[in-house]
Amino acid sequence: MPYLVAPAMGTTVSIDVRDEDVPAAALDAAVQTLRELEARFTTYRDDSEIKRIERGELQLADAHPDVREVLAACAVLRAESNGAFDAWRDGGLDPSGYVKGWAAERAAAVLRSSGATRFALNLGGDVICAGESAAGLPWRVGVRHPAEPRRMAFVVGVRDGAVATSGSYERGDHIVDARTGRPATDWRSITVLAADLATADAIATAALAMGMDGPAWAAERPGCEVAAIGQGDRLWTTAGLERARLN
Amino acid sequence: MRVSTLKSIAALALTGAGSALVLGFRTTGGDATLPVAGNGGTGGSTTSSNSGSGSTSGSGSTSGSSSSGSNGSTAKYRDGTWTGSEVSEPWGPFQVQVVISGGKITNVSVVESPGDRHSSRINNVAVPLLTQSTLATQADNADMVSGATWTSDSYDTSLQSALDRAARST
Repeated sequence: MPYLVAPAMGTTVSIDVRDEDVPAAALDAAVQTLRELEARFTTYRDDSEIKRIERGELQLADAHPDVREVLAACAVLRAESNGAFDAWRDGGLDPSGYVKGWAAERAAAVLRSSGATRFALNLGGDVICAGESAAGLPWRVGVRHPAEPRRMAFVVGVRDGAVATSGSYERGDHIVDARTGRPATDWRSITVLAADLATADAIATAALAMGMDGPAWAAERPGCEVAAIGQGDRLWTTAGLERARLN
Repeated sequence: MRVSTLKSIAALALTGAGSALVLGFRTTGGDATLPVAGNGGTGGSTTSSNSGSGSTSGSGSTSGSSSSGSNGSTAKYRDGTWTGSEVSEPWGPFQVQVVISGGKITNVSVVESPGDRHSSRINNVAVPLLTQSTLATQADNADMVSGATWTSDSYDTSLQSALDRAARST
């Protein structure tokens, strides 16, 4: 039952595999995949594909298939969110709001290809769960309280699925409503449960950017369950989220 | 025990499917106020605009050997003082030391962290909160935590490696 914590994609990844016969090398390979994707999607190097597309030097059709896939998904998300989520802002291209969850799914695929069926992968607070944590038990995913990093607001049980939380509480107000350019502060955090982390992360980010109507919008996305924490510890949840709650 | 499982609050009881069924009648979801629960940090917010990710820490992964079949709260640690790996922060190295007594974590301290004014603010405010929570939450009730973390990333990375060393060859 290998376990690993490592820095990746500017944050920490932890991988907890409960299958008995999965080698530790499989976890290293998953982390390696994250590092490769981090390099591919970096916005910190002028010669990266993302920066070259931003400057108009690289046509999308000539970009790496991963880049095309991510930017196409960002475009869909931009349309679905009426522009609240936009990889393009102020002339700059930054798809990192989508890349993190998407890359984590790639890393999970590496684990699966090594035979892992029961694992949890946490990339900077966004979590993928596969199978059960123990016989008959779901993975217990705590959602941290927006104001108190070490306190959990609630815990959900997840078997196969993903949990992403976007908050306005860390690293300043880093999520901006692309339509107004203003920080999104209506909700302190929005948590989305979905089948895959790319979707959960993107919808949570877009919903937070959208402001007051974000959680209701997220709840209408297919397969998404939502919890939103607002001012005064207000907790707004969908019925499916309530059913997943363990406390 | 694993760091990810330390991040829970002791007061949360694992009630399993029973409570899910009870809650199931709320078919329209909920709109309520979060209960005041747990004994986590009470010192209020320690938010900061600084990113807290130690991006590259030397050799990287603190590889996981949870070899002794340790699972959840039944994990056993060897008594002693164990030093975690050094994690690079933008403002310098960060490293914790954990003291195990009677198989339990009894103290966590920072052995290396930068001394400028910004980091002393972090070390004086955030680290005690993180440590207090670690100690308070050994009765873990979660496997993973969703939601962004800040300095805690480095804290967890270093603490996990210290615990790996404490757990080894038990």
